[in-house]
Amino acid sequence: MKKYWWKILCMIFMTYTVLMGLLIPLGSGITSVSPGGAKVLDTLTMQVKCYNTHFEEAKNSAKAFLKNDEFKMITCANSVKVLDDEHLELKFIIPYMPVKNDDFILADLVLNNDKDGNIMMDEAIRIDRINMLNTAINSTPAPSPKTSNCTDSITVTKATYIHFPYRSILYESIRNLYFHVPMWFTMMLIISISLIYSIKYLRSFDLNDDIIAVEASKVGIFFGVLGLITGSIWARFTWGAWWVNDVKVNGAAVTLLIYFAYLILRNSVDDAQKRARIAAVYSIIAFTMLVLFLIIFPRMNDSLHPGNGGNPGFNKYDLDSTMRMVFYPAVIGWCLLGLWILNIRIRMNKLMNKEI
Amino acid sequence: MLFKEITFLVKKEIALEIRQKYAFGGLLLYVISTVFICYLSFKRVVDPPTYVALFWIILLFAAVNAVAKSFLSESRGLQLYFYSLASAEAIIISKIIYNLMLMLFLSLITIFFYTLFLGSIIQDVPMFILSIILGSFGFSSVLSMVSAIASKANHNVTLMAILSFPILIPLLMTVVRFSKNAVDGLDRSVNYQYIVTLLALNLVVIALAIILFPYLWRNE
Repeated sequence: MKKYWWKILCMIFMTYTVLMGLLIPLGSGITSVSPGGAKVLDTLTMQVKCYNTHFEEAKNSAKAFLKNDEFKMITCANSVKVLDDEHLELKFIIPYMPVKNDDFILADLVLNNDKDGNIMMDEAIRIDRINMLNTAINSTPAPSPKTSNCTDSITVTKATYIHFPYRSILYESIRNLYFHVPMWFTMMLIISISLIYSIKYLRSFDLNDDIIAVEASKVGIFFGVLGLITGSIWARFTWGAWWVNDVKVNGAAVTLLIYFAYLILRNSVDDAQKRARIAAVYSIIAFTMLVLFLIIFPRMNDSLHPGNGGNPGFNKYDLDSTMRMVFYPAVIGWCLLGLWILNIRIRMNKLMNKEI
Repeated sequence: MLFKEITFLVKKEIALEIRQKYAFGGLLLYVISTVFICYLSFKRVVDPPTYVALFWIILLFAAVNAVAKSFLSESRGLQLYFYSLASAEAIIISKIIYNLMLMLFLSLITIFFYTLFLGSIIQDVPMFILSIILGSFGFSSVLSMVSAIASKANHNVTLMAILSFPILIPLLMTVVRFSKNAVDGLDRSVNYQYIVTLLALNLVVIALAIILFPYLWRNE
């Protein structure tokens, strides 16, 4: 038990990651609103289509508001009709708004119900002030009709169930965070092991160190390729193309090319000691290039990836505490899985060498 | 002591070269033929990205051939004799310096024939020359290191090409952007980051080469 506690831990974490990562539902969000425009003093009947909402359950507590950028409420809904779990029909009476420099404003739509909490759509409605140009200069503006359940501030509540954040562009693919990112972490870890054992070989000339170095680089390449594949699928879904002209993506491809060349170099030498020496030297060069491509260059240039090129670091971007709850075990689980694969391969290699 | 060894080795390389003119003549022919083929295909290049990219591709292949010839053409016995006399650091530094001189000469020849055949649209010539010098420096250090590795692994030129292309990519990216800015005639301060990057890259590769080369030469 003492020898393989980490393997059991790995299995627990991986099961947890896969189950939680794929089964926890996404939070609620508003997908579309129609029509998208209104005029001041109009009665607006709006059809709202949402995602992952539970309006049937929380029929009685459904509310809707229109607000402007500074979180000030413009109006609340006159009537909220629940069509089904994900569709609503709202009636707003747009109140009089004083003249400002632009003749339209973009209002955000906020929905709130007991089960789903606060859901917001940015810039849902464009409200034009054209009506006001038609009224005579001296006439008083029509008073806003009183609506019965309008309070002074917008209620902000959280959903009652555990969910992942609903982000535009990402939608459900946010779950890929538990696969794509840990694979790159694992690759970095295992290639660092390869580097350490390459350096160890150059100091000790013990062939066992060389075996660890080469197996580690093979496993590292494997995880790198998986990372590229998961990243490519994610990119197809969010950015629209299988491959994008992004610094980090190109850098990752070139780094894998360098490590493939490492494997070819190894195959071209017959003598074991000589091969180990040459491979160790090249592996140190290859790791320097990896650091250059994956860490230094992305920070210097513009990039689509979070954390590089002017984008906020991915702590603030799309990780909230629910995601963190699954993300840290995912990283640990994948790293342990990589180490497990490495362990088996090293033992296999040592056995094969013994036979010869 | 190290300095004496290095000067001796560099002089030896140059002397061999002047005597045989083997690498020299071959590369000259290679460069002129390539540029001439490009001339026949393009006739005149007026588009800056194409101009710069074509130039650096020609120079890249000429560089790989140049350094491959220099390291891999020596026979084992001769190597062993000479290099039992000198320290490993001196050998690699002398190789880098010799290749640098070769590369500088090669790139100046290339740009000469390139502008002769395909016209010159370079607006900021001193900066372009600077980009060529820094690029040659980078090529020579990376390629010397990689050809040292490849020479230990059965003297295979293809292997050298495979190993060197990925490692040369950051160098090429930087130097292409730098020379394109020079061709476009942009303000010089735009290029300072590229100059710094190129110098840093060169430094890193040379440091790696000096540290790692002794391990390659041991026991032989």
